[in-house]
Amino acid sequence: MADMILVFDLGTDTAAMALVADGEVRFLAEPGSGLLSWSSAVCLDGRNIVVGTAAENRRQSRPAGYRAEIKRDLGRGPVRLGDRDIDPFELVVAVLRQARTAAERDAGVPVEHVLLSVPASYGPGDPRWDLMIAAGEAAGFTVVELIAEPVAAALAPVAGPPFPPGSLILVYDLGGGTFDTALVRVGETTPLRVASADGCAGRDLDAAIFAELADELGVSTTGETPLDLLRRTQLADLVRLLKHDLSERDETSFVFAGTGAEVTYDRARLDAHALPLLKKTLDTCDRVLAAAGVEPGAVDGVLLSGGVTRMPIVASFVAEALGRPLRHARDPQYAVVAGAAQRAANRTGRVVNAEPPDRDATPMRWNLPGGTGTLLAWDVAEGGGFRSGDVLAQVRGHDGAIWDLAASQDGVVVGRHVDLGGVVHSGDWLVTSARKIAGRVAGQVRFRLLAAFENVNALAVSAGITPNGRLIAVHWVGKEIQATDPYSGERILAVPSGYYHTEAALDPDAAQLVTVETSSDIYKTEYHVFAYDLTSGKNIGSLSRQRLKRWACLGGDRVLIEDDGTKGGGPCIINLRTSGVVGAFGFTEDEFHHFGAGGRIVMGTKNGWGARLLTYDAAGVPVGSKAVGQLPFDGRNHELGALAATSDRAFIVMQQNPGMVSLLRTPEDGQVMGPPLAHLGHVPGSSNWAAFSPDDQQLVVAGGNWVTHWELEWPS
Amino acid sequence: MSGGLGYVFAAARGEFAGQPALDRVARVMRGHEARFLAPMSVALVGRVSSGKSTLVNALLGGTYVATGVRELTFTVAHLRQGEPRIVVHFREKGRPVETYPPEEIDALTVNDPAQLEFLRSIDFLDVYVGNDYLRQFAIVDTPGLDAHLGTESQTTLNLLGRTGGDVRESTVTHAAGADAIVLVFTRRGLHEDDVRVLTDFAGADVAGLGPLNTVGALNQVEALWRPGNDPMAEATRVAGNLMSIAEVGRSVYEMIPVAGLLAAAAGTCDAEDLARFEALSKVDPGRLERIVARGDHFATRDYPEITVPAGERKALVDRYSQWGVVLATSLARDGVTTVREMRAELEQRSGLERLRGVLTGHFGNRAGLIKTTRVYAWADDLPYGVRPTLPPRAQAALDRVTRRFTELRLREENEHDELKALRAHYDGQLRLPLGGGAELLRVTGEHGMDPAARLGCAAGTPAAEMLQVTRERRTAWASAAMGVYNGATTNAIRVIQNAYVAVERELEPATA
Repeated sequence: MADMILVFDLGTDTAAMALVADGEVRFLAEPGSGLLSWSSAVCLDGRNIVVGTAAENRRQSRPAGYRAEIKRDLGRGPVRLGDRDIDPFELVVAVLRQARTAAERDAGVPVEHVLLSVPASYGPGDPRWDLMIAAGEAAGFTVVELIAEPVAAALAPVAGPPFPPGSLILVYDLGGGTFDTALVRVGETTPLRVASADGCAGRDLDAAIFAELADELGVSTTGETPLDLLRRTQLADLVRLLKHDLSERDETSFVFAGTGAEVTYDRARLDAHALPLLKKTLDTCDRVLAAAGVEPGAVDGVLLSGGVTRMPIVASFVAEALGRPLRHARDPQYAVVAGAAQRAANRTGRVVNAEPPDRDATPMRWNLPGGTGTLLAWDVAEGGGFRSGDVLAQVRGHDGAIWDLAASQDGVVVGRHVDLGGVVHSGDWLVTSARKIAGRVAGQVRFRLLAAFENVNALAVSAGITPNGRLIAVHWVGKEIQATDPYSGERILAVPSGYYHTEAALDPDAAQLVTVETSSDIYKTEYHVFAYDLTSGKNIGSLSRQRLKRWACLGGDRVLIEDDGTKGGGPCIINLRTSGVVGAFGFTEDEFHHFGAGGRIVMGTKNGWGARLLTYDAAGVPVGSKAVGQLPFDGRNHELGALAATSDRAFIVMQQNPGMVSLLRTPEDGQVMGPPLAHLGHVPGSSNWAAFSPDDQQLVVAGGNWVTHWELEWPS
Repeated sequence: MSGGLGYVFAAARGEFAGQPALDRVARVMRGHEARFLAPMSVALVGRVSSGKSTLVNALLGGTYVATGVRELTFTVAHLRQGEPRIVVHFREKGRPVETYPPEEIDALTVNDPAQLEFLRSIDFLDVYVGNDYLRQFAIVDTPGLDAHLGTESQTTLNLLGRTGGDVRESTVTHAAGADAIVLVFTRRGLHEDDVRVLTDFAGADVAGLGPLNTVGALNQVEALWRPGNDPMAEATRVAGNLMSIAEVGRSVYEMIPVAGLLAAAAGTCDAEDLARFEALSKVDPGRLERIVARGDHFATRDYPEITVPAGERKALVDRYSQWGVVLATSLARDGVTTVREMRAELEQRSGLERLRGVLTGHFGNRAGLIKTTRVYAWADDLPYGVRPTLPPRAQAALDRVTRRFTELRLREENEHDELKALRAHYDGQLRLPLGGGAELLRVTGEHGMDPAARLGCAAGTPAAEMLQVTRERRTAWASAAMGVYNGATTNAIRVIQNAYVAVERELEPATA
C-alpha cells in the first residue's frame, strides 16, 4: 500500500489540505461545503465542536459559541465557547480530526501520516511546535511532520521558471488576516528571518472599501435593527465580489441587493485604498532584509503568495519597490499547502549521509556483564585526559551492581555519546577518544556532606566559611542581597538593592561582601561596586565603572577587577576605601570568563579554556601570574561549575550534568587535566559558586536554591 | 507577571552560565533584565520657565534639592534612589563614568578654566538621592526646550560649547527612553515651543507621544489666584482648551492642572508652618485675602491683627505662594489640625495627588507591560539572529531559553493584545460597534478592575445580576463581530470578548 500523506495548512484565517499518494498531489475539498479553502473557525453546538463552514453556519444562531482564528489561541489559556472553557489545543485537534476523516473517506484507506504547516513565527524552541505535533497525534495520525509556512510556500509551483535550489528568496505572503514575510533559501528547512505586520492584510482593505461604500449607499455601520444587519451582510458580499472582479478588469459594476442601486467601482479607487497598506508591507520587508543583513540586490527573487496578491497592483508595486524578479505562486491562496505537498511528494532530498571515519578518533566500547546497564556518571569531561586503567564512567548493571568502565590505554576524551541516566548496551560506542599524554593525579580526596540548605524563594549566589568555621550564605532575594548563617537562620546583613543587584560575592574569609549593581538603560550600562563589612554591616567603599567584565572579592577592602578601562584593561586590584589601584597584573591579552578566589590565589579561565593563576600578597599587591594547562572544556561542553582555591592550589568544582558534581585539580601548564579527585555526588541545584574554608578542611557549594556544606579529607 | 519574567531571566542565566558561546547573548540579556527590574522612569519635559524643577521637587515630596548650578541647567539628570552620589557620563565615547559626592559637582563653575573643561565633557548625570518616591519611579529631569534663550543662558551655553539643538536632541533622546513622559505646560497656554516639543517626538525613534505614555501637567496654577477666585477651576478650563488642540489631544492622556510650588511646599509642611496657618486663620478671611493679594505688603508690613511676624510671612509666601497661604489658612480654619492632614490636603488640592496617581496607576500598570514587550521582541529574534551561529549544544540551550520566554509570552498574550487594542484606539484606528472605545476602555479596567467598574454597573450590584450583564455583552459583541472590520478592530473586538470572559470567570464563583 502506498504511503498516503495528508498535507494540512491551518492558516490564521482559512484552512486547506491536499492528499499525496505515490508522488501525486490532489487538493481535497472540505466535506459538506465542497470548498477548497474554508474558515479556521469552530463553534460549539450542544456538546459538539463543529469546525470550518459548519461553524460559520452556526455563527448566527450561536454567536457566543463561535470562535474564529483558533490558531491564535494555541499555547494560551482556555477559551470560552458558550459556557464551556476549552483548551485551544482541543480545538486544533477537532479540526485535524475532521481533516483526517475527510482524507480517509477520499483515499479509502487509513491515512496515518500528516504534514502540518506552522507559521514561521514559531521559531526553533517554540512550545507550539510540540503542541502541533501532539495535536496531530491526538487526531489519530501516527506520523506527524511539520514545515514552516514560508519554507513550504517557497516550494510551491510558480508561474514561470521555478527558483533553483539554493536561491535566496523573499516570500511575500499577503493573506486575508495577516501579512507575513520571510527570507528563505530554497531547499533549506528553516527561514533565515521572518516578520509580520498588522493592519495591512486583506481585511483591512475590505474594511476601507466597505466604509467608503456604506457611506455612498447609505448603509448604517452602527445600526442594530435586523435591516441594518442584513444591509451590512449584503454590502460585505458586494465588496468581496467587486474585489475579485477587479483583479481581472479595470472597472466593474454591481447592483447592491439592499437598495437596487448600481455601484460602479474602478481599479483606481481600489488601488488608492491598497497603496498605504502595501507601503506598510514593504516596510516589513525592509525590516526583514535589514535584520538579516541582506542587501535587496542579493535577493534572487520574490515569491508572491496569499489570496490578496491576485490584485494586479500588488505585483507592480512590489516589483518596482524591490527591483527583484517576481514569481507568482500558481495558486497564491494555496501556495503553502501546494508547496508542502511538493515536499511530501518528494522525500528523497531528506537524507543525511554518515561522515567519513576520523583517523585520529578511537571508538571506545565495553562489554557489560548482563549486556545492558544505566549510565550513572562520567568521570572524565570532554577534553579531559586519562591514563590506561583510569575509570571513565560508571554504569549500574543489569544485576544492580555498579561497574566502573575503565580505559585500556592513555588518551583524551573527544566526545561522550550517552547522557546520564541513559541505557547502554554491550558494544555501544560510548566514548570517542584520541591519544594524548595526560598528567596523573595521585591519591583521592574524601568528602562528607555536612548539610544541605534549600531556600525556594531565593537564588544562592555565594557562600563562604569564616576562620571560626561559621558558614555564611548569600542569596539574591528579589530586590535584596542577604547574607545569612544557614545553620542558625540568623540574618547577618541585608543590602537593599537601590536599583538592581545582579551579582554578589564573599571574600575567601567570608568577612566582606561585595555586590555589583548594574544600572542600565538604552544609553549606557554602568556597574557600581559596593563593599560591606559583615561584622559591622557598614558600607566600606564603592566604585563605578562603565565596563566591568569579571571581578572577584579578595577581602581586606580589595577587589580584583578586569578591564578597569583606565590602566590598560588588564586585571588589577583596587582598594575600595580609597578607589585607588593597588596594583595591576600587567598583562592585557586575556579575556577572562570566570574568576574564583581562595587563599591568595585567583584563578581565571579565559578564551579557549586556558586558565591563569593570579597571586597576590597579604597587602593585596599582585605577585605574579602564570598560565596553567588546558581545562577540559570546549565550546560544546559547558559544564564548568565554579572555581575555588585552597591556600596553595586552585581547584575546579565541576558540574557534569544536573546534580553530579566533581572536584578537579587544575593542571600544570602544558598538561591536560587529570580525572576528578572526587565526586561530591548528586548535589541539588547548580554549582555556580564554590569556596574552601580558610583551613582548607571544608568546602561550600552554592547555586540554584541550594547551599551545600562539605567536610574534606585530603590524602596524606 | 513580573515575577514570571524574573523567574525566566534567572533560569536563562543558569542556561547561559559557563557557555562562552552564549556570553554575548547573556550580556545583552543582563541589560534587558536590568531595565525590566528597574522602577519605571518618568521624564519631565517642557520649556525653561515652565517650573519643571519645582515639579520634580513636588513629585519627590519636596525633599530633593535640584543642583542650583546654572552650568548644569542644560544637562539631563536621571534621578535615582540610592546612596547620595553623582555619576557623571561623558560625551566622549568609551570614557568610563566617574562618581562624585554631590557637593563637588554643585561647586563647579564655568569661571575656572579647568572646571570648564570638565563641564564641557559632561554628557549627562545620574543623581542618586535617598528618597522613597524614587523607589516607585526614577525621574529624568531634562533641560528646557526653548528655541530662544535669554542672554545669560545663551552665554553659559556658548561657554559649554553647546547649541540649543544639542540640548533639544539630548532631551528628546533621554525622554524617549523613559517609560512615561510628563509634558509640562504653563498657565499661559500653548507656546510655539510647546508645539515644537510635540513634533520633535514624532520624529524620534520611539512609539512617540501618546496617551499610553504621556500626561500633560498645566503648571503654575497658583499664579492664577486672585482674591475670591478659584485658580484650579480656571486652570481646568485652560486645560480643557489645550486638550481641544489636535496635537495636544492626540499626544497626552490627560491635562492635569498642578500648582507646582504649592505641591512642593506640601511635602515639607511642618508643625511650625501649621502653627502659623492656625494663627493666620484668626484673621477675617476676606481681609487676609486682600492683604495677601497686595504681595509686598503682606510680606513686609505689620498688621495689628496678624501675630505671625512679617519675615515668617514672607517665607510662607515664597514657599507656598499667595494662593497656598490663603488655602492652607482656610484649611486650618476648617479644622485641619495635623501636619499629615495638611500635607495630604495640599497635595490633593494642588493637583499633585492626581499627577502621581496617573503616573503610578494609569502608566505604572502598563509600563510593566510595555517593558515586557521590549524583552519579548528581543527574545523572539534569538532563534533567527543568534542561533544559526552557535555550536549545537549552545543551540539546544538557547532553544530551552526561547521556549521559556515564548511560553510566558503566550500566557501574557491577552494583555499584550489589550495594549495593542488601546494603542489602536488612541491612534484612532478602531471602528468599534456597540459601546465603542468607551466600552473597550471600561471593560479593560480603565475605571478600575473590579467587575462593577468593568461592566459600568453601580457599586453593590448583585453578582448574579452582573453575571447576566456580562453574558449579554459577550453575546452582543460576538454577534457584532460578524461585520466587516479592519485588523485592528477585529483584534479589539476579540479583546473585548476575552475581557468579558475574564469578568464572567471572576463572577461565577460568587454566584455558584
